[in-house]
Amino acid sequence: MKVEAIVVRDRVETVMEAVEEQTGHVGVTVVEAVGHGRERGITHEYRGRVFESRFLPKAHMTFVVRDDIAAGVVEAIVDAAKTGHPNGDGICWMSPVTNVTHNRTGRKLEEVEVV
Amino acid sequence: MSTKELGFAVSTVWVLIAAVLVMFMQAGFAYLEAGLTRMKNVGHIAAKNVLVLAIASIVYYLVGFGIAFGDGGNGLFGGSGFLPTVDELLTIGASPFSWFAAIPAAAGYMFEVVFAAVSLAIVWGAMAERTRLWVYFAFGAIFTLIYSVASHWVWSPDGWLFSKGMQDFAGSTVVHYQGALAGLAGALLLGPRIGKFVDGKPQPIPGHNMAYTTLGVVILWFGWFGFNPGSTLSVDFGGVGFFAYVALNTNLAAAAGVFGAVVTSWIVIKKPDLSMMLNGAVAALVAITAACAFVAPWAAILIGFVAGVIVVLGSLLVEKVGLDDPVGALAAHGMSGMWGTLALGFLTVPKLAENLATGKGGLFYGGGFHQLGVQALGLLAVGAFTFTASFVVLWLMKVTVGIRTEPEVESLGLDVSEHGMWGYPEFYIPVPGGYGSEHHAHGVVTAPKETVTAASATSPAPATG
Repeated sequence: MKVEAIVVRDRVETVMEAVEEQTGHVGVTVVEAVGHGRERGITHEYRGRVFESRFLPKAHMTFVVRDDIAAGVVEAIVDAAKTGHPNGDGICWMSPVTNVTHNRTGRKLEEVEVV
Repeated sequence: MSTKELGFAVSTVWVLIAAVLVMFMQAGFAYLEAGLTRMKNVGHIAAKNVLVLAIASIVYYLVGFGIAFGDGGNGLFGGSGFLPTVDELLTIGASPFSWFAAIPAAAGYMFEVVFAAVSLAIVWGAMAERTRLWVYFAFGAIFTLIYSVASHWVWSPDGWLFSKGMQDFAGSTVVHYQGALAGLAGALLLGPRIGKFVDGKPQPIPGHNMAYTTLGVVILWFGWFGFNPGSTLSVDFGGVGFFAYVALNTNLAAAAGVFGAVVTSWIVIKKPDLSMMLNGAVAALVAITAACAFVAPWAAILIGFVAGVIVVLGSLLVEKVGLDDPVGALAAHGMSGMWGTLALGFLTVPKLAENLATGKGGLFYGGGFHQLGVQALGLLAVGAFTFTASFVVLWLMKVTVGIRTEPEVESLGLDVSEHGMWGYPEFYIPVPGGYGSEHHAHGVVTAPKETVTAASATSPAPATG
């Protein structure tokens, strides 16, 4: 199962640590991303003048995990990514993936996890 | 102009040029400090450097210059020349600033005020990335006064350390050691930056731009040719053109400091670390500041080299005892300042001391322990006064209003939290037309979409480049 999350950049490490601590899963891909949710971005000031940024800086995190822990991973992410700030804390979702193979060994994820 | 007046004119030209060189050292400090800290604080660091120059300039005019050099005081404070008038600033070698015998008091002010600002710039290095902005205003003004008092002791002819013959030509003790002492008080009261120590173990927090740091140090090196040689305050103090000799010693020491630091860092941390190399140059310049006019060239090389060794070991020691000094000011300015001041007790050439009418020859020249004792006494006295005064003032500020930023502010960066803007906005927020919004056509020039459709009917396609 693939678990993805958009989180505020400040919380990337917190989320990684929470996932490892609560589910034992290690391994993540982090991409710096920009985007916005229902708040439609943010306004900034420069020399007293206001300008708008439609986009907020966020991080896009991807975890490829065993199916049986996927729900736990989501739970850990949601809890760790929550700041309560009105600019939004992003979202988290999961989707199925197939044929996950390690490039170094050529082995399937399932085989590795079992060993 | 009489020959005598011509002498005054030439001295004034030299001292004012030197003052401007020293003023430019603020740019050096800004770049050095900005380079050694993180991107999210760069605007704040630039801002406070300009701010404290402004504060020092005004406070030093109002009271500092009088405390430091005004006539009619005692061994501890100057007694006149507060808020100096037009006439007082135009006189040469007369009350209230009779110490400046070859230049108008105005040139004296210009030269001395930039020294106060340098001392202040050193303080902030050790307090960077976690101090609230108002502290720079308040403590900047107070430290200018503390600095003025200690500089009176050593540099004013009425000062008690001056009359003991303490040798500190351009301020290893007065400017650098003092700045570092206040920085130490600040670092102790502030505590380390978030993440600097994990379970008591020091963690590296790399600076964001080593080329900036290099530029900063080279600017400092350049400015130091005003700092040391300009401290002759005349073109014939110690002999006509003696200031060129001072410049030579300054340069030799800085060069040796680079080597001292490179060699030490190669041995101790197994790599010729660039930031250590740069701190080696600064430390050597600090150490030679007291000694530049009193020692032989070989001694300048020795003093510089040892300062380079000290700064590497000192920076590691500072971390080991749990202090967080982002730019290494405590080692580069504090420890090296002490070394430079003490080195004179050994290395002062008797003839040069005589020419400058300051103190006696050093131990290695058969001068005995006298000069070493005076130098140590000076360090002890200035150390006790400046550290205590700075610590008490900063402590009072800490318990009444608070000097450290909140953890959220620190993690957000002081640029946006203290100033509402970033030094590098495009790294943090999408800016209209900024980074990431360009079209990536690999050098092919294309007009914006709207104009292409409107213009394509009447004009040929845009040129490619």
